[in-house]
Amino acid sequence: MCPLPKAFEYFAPENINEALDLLNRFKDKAKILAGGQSLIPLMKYRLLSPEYVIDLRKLKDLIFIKEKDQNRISIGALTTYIMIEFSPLIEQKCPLLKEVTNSLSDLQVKNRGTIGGSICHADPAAHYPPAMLALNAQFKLMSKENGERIVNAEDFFIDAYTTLIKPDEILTEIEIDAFQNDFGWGFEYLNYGGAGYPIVIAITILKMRNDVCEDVRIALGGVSLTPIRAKIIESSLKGEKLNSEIIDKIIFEKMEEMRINPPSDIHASSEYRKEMAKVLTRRAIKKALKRLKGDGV
Amino acid sequence: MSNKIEDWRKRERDYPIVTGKALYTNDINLPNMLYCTILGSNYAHARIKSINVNKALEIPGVINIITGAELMDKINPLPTNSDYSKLGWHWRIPKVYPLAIDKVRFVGEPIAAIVATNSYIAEDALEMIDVEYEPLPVVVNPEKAMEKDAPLLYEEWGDNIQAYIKFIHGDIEKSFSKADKVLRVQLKEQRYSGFPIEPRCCVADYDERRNELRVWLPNQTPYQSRRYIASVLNMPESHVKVIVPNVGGGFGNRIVPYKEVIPCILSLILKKPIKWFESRRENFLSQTHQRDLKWDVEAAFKNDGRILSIRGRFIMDYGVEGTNRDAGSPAIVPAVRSIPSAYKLEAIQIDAYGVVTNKAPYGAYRGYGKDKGNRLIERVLNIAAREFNLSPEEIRFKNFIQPNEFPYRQITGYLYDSGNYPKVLKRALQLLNIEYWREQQRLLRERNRYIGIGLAFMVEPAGASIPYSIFTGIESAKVSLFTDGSIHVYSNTIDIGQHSKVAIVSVVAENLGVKPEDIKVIMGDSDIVGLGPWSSRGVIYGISAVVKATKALKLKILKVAAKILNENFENLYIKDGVIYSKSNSEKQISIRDLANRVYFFPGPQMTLTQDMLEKGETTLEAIASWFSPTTIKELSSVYTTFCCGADAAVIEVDLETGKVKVLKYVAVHDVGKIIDLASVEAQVQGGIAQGIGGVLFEELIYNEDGQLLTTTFTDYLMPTAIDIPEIEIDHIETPSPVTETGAKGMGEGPIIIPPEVIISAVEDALAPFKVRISETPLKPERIWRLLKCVT
Repeated sequence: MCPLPKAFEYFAPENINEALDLLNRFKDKAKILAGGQSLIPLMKYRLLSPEYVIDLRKLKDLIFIKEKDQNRISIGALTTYIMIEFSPLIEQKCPLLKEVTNSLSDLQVKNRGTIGGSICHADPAAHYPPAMLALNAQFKLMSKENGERIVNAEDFFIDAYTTLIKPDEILTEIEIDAFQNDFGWGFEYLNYGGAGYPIVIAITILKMRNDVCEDVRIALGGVSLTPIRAKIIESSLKGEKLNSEIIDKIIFEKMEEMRINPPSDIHASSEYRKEMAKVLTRRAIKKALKRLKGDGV
Repeated sequence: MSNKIEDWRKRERDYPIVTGKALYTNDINLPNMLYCTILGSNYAHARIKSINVNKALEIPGVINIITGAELMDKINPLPTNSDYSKLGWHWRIPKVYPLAIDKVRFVGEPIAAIVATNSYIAEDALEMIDVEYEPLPVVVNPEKAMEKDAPLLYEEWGDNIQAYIKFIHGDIEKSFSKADKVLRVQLKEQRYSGFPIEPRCCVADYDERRNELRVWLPNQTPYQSRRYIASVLNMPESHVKVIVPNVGGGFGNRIVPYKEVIPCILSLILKKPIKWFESRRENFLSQTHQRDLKWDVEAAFKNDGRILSIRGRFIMDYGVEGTNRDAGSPAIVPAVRSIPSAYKLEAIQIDAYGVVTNKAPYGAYRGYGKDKGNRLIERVLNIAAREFNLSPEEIRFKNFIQPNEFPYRQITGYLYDSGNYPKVLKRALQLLNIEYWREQQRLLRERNRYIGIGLAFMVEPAGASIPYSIFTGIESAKVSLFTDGSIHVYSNTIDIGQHSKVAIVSVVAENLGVKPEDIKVIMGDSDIVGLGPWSSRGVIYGISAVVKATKALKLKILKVAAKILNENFENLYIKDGVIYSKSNSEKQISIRDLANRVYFFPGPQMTLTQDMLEKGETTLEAIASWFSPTTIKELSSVYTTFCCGADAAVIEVDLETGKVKVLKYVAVHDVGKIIDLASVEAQVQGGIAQGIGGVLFEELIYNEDGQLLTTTFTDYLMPTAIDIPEIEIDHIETPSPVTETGAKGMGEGPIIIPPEVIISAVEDALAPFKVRISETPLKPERIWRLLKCVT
């Protein structure tokens, strides 16, 4: 077998309306090409053989990173990983996203891959989906018939490689939280090496007042077919005076209560993933605490 | 000199590669070329009931589809690459065709081949071929394959044992009776291999008018590959020419073109040029695999830590076979015979089994078999060191062959040429600063951090001449002077990543006295008699032949110059392509001028000596061949030079996740005289990276149904630069007395040491928990489970 796709018809629309027109015409017979770092390999292996490919490369309007207001940042769906990694705004207002981006893949992929592409591909082991949950992301989806709708990241991912995006919709914009200085954050992931995907990802965002946890968000990747928020742990942490022992205790107890049942595969068993979710969540929270205290990490 | 070589390397070798200007097989496009794709089996073990190609043939652009059954009468089975039954050993050679005839034995085994006007159409047609299988029971575990009622891959054999050899060296019973302590050691190494950046590719062009087949392939053995292809096609060898363009990496898996004969057959049938290239998935499925072995031995020791002997059992999982589609089966021999390595043992006795299972064929991968024996003895010594309360270095110093004992006849038959093992190990300890790290280890443990220090040693038997195989050790070189003053060197020591051209240019420039830029190396052509690079034989056979030929040419040139300049022969020397008299600076002639005078104006009669004219020696060229002097007298003394090395490393284990991080890595090698330091160091770096990848995470995983689950680089984890620490390298030079340059083969050595270095370092880090490692790779979950068992 040669690494070559089935024949398909290719379009590179000039603007978003043209793209929506095309998508409306072909619906699920078409695939959106937004960087192609997953789509092209899938097509080459013929795991996916769309009849039509709509390449968004000319939609320069969808490449941007801007401050929406004090609390929110808006990112165009076609913004590449490398642009996010080296954006001064992201560095200042959302350093978590910078670190997440820094840790994923290689330079070649970062030059091509887009945040919108990654989110819509919804790989259960990918970095961005749990980050979106932690950052309270909202996705702007557009279609020809229904115009625009906004979906919360938490509702967006419904299964492995499956989102609630409709066949005639295009993700155009991602909105995430901007950080205030009183937030700490931690990003932990375990991978084995090589070009392997992470086994487990844990991301936390933490706000404290007088040593008491005022607000916390915990998002996990790799422990389920979709990224998840560890809300049981979050609510147990809130109002607690945090120290190492309490963090350990709450996570070990509450992670069990969450009844997560991670998938087993050749890289890791369900049991190991579950244990690693505990280890990494604990570490992520402690890192967030350290950052808040200005200890450096 | 070295700066000039550096310039040459950058300009001639590296620049074309990094700028994309190098020519690879897939860059070759011929007029009227057609494209081939190969359908592989979906089943690991099944009878083929029928193959229906009708629908596929209807697709516009499909030219032809062939299956094994219809080819059977037109071609010969794949020839064998080794036949050790001639040595009286249990050695079975299956009858294998390039396309399966009635039965498939591994997932990916070629079933049919399609030719179309382009690769896309060929790929479309592939999906339309309808194969009806009758699934058979599958066996993927060699120990299960050895059981009485196991499914048989080759019914005619009656069992699944392709090779069985009982190795007896020394008196094992007597030696064990002297033992104070006997240790049992088990070691299981997973299946993995080298996966080059360039998958397999072939362009075959049959010219009907001349009845000649030209084949371009990324290959390390064009001379043997020509013979192989001609044999399958039933053509005279002289009508087949194999040409090797740039090769995108080769680690042993570029030796036998078993799948590449398919486009050759198609070109012959259709009388058109045919191109075949594969996907990474196809490469994983059907490129030959390696390692996959299990040792179960007892080692006899004296109480002072001296090792006496080793006995036990060794099983190698050959997959479907290792004699015809590649040349992996013979690795069973050096696997056992390299066990004694750098140490003085009294005896070894091993029952070695090469077992067939429903997995991809067994081939060569850097280390071949020498990695296996070396790894066993190093494992044994590291375990014993702890047992006897010795440091890993102490137990080695106690058991080393001493510098004054060379040449040393090892009990397994190898004749070690030279070496200074204690010196190499001492240097490695120094380079690591081992005492500092042991102190750090103590301090960090108090803070709940677990670092470990590991070390291992190796001796690499290199430069084989193996009877009854395609690895006999013949080699030639030709060096010619042309009238433009250029020197052409013909040698099949192909550059598959090891910078062999640089080494050739270095020795020719030095020995002849010419500039590197005036040297042209011609390699990678089946018309050159020479077996190519494997067994780290380049600097042993290839370079020795080149040096011999260069010296002979120099002699010729100086004889002619002596006559032209009317000067004493001994009084002449060559520098930068000009011949000078040592005493009279007026007397000089360039080799270019000399060549012109001899060949054309005025010609031989006026320039050559009477003796040369009478003998008809009118050309300024020399041909030489070279053979290993150490392998002549005793057949078991198969190898020529024995370089050695000691590596040491510091790692840290994350107790909660089981992840290993390599903090520091040092390597000291004694490769004899170094011809080109940069090439040697690049090979050391690359080998260590592969060794670390192999011990930490590279793994070809089959499920019970014989399906390969690792067919992408996100599943088969190949180390990247991030995973490999900075490696500090140092060298000690103990020249080999047997090669022309004093250099020793060293390409395989660097991959041999790291696995045991890392394993012993992990055990050292986890010493408080008494963790014993007997299986690799050391993926975090494995270590986490080991820790879970003991804590």
